[in-house]
Amino acid sequence: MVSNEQQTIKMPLITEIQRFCLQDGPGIRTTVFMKGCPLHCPWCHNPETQNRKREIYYYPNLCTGCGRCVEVCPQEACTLEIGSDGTPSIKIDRDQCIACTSCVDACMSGAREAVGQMLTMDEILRECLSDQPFYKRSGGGVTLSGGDPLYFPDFSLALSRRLKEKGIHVAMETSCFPNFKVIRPLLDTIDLFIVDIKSMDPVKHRQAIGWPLEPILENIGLLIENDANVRIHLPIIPDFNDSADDCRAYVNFLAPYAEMLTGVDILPFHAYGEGKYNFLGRTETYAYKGVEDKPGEQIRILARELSKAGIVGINVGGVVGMGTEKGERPQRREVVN
Amino acid sequence: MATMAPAVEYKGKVIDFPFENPEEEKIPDDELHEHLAKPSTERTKRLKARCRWKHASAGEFVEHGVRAGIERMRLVTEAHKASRGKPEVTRRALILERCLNKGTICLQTDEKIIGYHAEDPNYFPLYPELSYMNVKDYLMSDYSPQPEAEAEAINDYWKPYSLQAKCEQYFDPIDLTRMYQVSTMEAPTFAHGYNSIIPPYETVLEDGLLKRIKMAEEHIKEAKAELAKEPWDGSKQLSWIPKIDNWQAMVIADKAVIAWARRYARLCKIVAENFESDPDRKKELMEMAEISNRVPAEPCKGLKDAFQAKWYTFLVCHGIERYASGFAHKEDKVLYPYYKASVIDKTFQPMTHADVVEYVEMERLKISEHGAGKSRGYREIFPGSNDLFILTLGGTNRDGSDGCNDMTDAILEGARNIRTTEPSIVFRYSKKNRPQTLRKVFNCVRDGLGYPSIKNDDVGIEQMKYYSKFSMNNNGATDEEAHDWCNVLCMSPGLCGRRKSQKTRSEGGSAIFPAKILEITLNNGYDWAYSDMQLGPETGNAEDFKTYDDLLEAFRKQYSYVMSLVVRAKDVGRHIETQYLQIPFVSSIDDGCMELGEEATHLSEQPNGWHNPITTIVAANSLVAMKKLIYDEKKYTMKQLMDALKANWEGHEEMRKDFKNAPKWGNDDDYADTIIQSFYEDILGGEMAKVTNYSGGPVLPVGQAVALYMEVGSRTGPTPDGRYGGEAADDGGISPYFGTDTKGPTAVLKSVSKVQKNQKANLLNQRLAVPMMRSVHGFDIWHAYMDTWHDLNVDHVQFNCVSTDEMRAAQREPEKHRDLIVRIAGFSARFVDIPTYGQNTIIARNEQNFGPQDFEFMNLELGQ
Repeated sequence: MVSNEQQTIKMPLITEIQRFCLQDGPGIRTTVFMKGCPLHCPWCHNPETQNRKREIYYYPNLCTGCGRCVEVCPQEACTLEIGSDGTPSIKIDRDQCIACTSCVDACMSGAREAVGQMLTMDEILRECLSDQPFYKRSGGGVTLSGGDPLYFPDFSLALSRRLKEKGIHVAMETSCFPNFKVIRPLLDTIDLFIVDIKSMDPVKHRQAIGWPLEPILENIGLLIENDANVRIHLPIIPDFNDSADDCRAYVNFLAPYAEMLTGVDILPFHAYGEGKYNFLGRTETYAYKGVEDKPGEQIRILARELSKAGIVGINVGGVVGMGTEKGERPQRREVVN
Repeated sequence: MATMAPAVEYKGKVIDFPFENPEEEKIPDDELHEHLAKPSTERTKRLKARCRWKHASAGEFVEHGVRAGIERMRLVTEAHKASRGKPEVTRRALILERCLNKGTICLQTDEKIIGYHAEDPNYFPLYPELSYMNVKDYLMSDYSPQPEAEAEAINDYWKPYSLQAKCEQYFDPIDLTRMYQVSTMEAPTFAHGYNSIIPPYETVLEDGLLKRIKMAEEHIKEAKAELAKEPWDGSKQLSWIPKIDNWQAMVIADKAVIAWARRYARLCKIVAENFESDPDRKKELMEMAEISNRVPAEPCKGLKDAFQAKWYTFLVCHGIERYASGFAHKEDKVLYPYYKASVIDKTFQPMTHADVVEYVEMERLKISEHGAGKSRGYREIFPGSNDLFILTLGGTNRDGSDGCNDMTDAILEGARNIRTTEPSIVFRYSKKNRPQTLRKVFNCVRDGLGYPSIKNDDVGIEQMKYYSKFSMNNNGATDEEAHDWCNVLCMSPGLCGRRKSQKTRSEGGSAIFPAKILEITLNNGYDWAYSDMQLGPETGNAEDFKTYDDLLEAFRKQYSYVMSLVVRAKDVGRHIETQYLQIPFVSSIDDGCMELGEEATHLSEQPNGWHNPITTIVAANSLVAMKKLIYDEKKYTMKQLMDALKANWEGHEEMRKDFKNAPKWGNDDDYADTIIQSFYEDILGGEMAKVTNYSGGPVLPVGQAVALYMEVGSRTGPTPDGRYGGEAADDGGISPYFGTDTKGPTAVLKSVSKVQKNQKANLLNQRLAVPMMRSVHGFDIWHAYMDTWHDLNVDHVQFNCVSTDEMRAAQREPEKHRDLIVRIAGFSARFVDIPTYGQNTIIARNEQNFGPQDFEFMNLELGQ
């Protein structure tokens, strides 16, 4: 049954509804990953959430080279190749692939997986509500993530409204890219905005990420002005935004908001996403192959400088910690000296 | 490499970037556990370095020189021959007396708790009076007692007297052969004869054995007077005779134990006065001599007394009078009065808390050294450990208040420091538990010890009350006493304290294998994959089952047949025990036996019946797949499935994919969970509860695994859940099958919480991601998780918190990872001592990722 709601709302594909997340906001959370993002950060560790359309993962380590997929592919996109050591593998012409999933059905060894499911609102809601007892004990809730949930504002609004009706704390991980009029209706239903800032250099931002910086910074200001709870994510990418100048720029931008921010998470670069690029057949497009995923001195300096500027709730990587009472908005300031 | 950030000055204050555990700096992740071990003193460091471990791997002892000793066999036989004609219970007391009087005693360097149960600390005793097969097993091995010819002769002497031989005559040879297959069921308990008990340590520590002797003597005096009363009434007065025999046996046993402890006292004194050159050690030995002279004869006055008296009691109950596995007691409760005297009030044997922690470490090493003498088959199912030693902590007191005390903390601290696989710890989780103790529980878990294994305190209390209703003498646990419970072995609670505790394995222990039973159910009771024989009644072929209910009904019949057979075997064993394998020392320290003149194997006040279904989830997932694909969707016929199974899925890959992808347990999936809940509650629990055992109570399932899931997996053919023949079965009780729980730990808990009715206990394994547990927020998150677990009324959970990286590293270089401990099922084991097959099943358990594995070591809050 398709509800009225669904007929009118543009529904995203969902790549995963991950339960027991600890790094996407306070407490124990369930995170809904939507597929689709207008930005294209070259380091993205969830590349499967960039494209709005369904894609096919290919796991070469599980492939037995049986050739079933070659036989069933209507696009003739698959070819069986034998490596120099005699190991068979499948080469996929991704330009030809229409993600029809015939190969997923045909594969006996689990080497194919369709990424992106069309779920109904009720199915999504059911999964989000399943861990309610855990939200209650930990001050957790549901986080809308992606991709970017603001790419699907109607859906995000509808889902967060339904969750709010159940008294669940709702967070949103976003780059805040659109016009604020898209964001405004969500002010009532989103308890915490977790906003990514990828660079403070407008030129670099537009070039590398494909989106202007200005609306993002403006939206952060507007969120705070409108009394929303905001937590900033600062992904620190080697040789992109980890210089002393970048550090100063972050501090200068965030310092005036020190009293109003819920916290700042510094997210050191990691290369866990590399495998996904391989599975999607996009190995070539990944610019961070073999880049060291260890924290640099810059992260310590940045943490120290932000702290000097009066920002509290600074967290480097990892687990966010406990939330406040069930369903209520968290304190604007998590740690008060 | 985790490097800590330099301190910074901020607003005139120095701010550090601390790790939750500062020792973790500069430790590569794959070596983490090697660096956590830290015995608290030089003494325990030395004791650990020279510990004579009795671990086995793939059935072989890991340490060189470990073997069976002949001394106990010899003494038991001498005493048995010399006591011909005496009442059987007296003979048992005289056998114990001879072992204690004549057995070699030894004192080892550095130890403060003294006592061993064989002639050499590298040896362990054998028990020919229990099982001739078990002794034969050793005679055929490299660990054979020497001289072998004498051991052989002793075993031949005992064959007609042994428990095994005495029981076998009451069983149909076909049933016996089926039982000895260890395919649908574990071999009958009389085949190995070992016992499972909770000794009432409290009476020894509180009363002292001299008082127990006096009590028995007074009872004898009264009984003799009753016997002589006029006018004679044979219908009543004759009943005093077995009572008199029992009390007399208790006196013999207790006197022998006192004398034995005093032999140790003399040994300490002789060494101190004649051989020891170190003045400090000399002083220690004199103190040890003084202690062993006084306890267990007299009541304990301080904590050193208590540790020593408890150890002597353990040795007699578990290793000398009879072999009983386990280390069941509520240790913090047993020891706290003496902790208070020595550490808080300092009225006797004054000590610091740190001294107590050292004692805990020393006691753990004594247990690690304790050899059990299990047969090869049993050694194989307890890889990486020497036996099942499990103690219990926490919970609540009789008045419902928090049961945690400073002794609880000392035990947890000592366990964390010394890092031995044994004894394992069970922690009774209650909402009343104080945070400081929970923090110590968490510390052990995050260090990857695998214990404490957590049990729900309220579930245990309710269970004691429930069983109490079936008490045959209407003297089961009161509502207050129901708070006094500890795990008998890995998983199953039992009453502890001065009275009413479990004294025989006929109540619980031993296993039944649902996956194999399902396999034979599909083949008219015939086992084509392993034993090639009829293993159960003829209940029709799979193709004949027109509906899912037909299938379930056939399973029910096969299962009922096995259940009645295994409990009958246990109860027949118990009947024989009451006649020939009495345990007068255990009787003497139980207030019930003392009061009533009853034998411990005979008296049952609090029923505690259970049996362990192992491999349940393979069977349950198979039922789900069959219901969905054959009966609901009719995508395949039963004939097609049977062809595929007989071919081990070869040539039926598409079909296997469908069966493998059918909904699986542990994903909070309504379709699968509804079927599986009913399977647990109505079939496994419901059918088992129809069986009444010796004690008059129901037998209930305790879903667990030991390492039988590997053994039985190898004997179970391909199953409809998509598993290939011979692959490991599910690794524990109610835990999802490896890698099939894809929705994380909360979904697992939600699934598990649906099974409530007709269960005694169910083991749940969870693997936790190391980075999350090492974060500064780790404890808070774990605490929230545990509180929710408690809200959901789940019985049990235990954690493996070891990274896949480290397990892989240990497989590559075992010598560097001697201290890596993992949780197998109801016990922890040294990872490197586990056969590769078992290691891989542990690695295959889904690591429950508390969020993306983003950043492993830094998680800092500034300004705190």
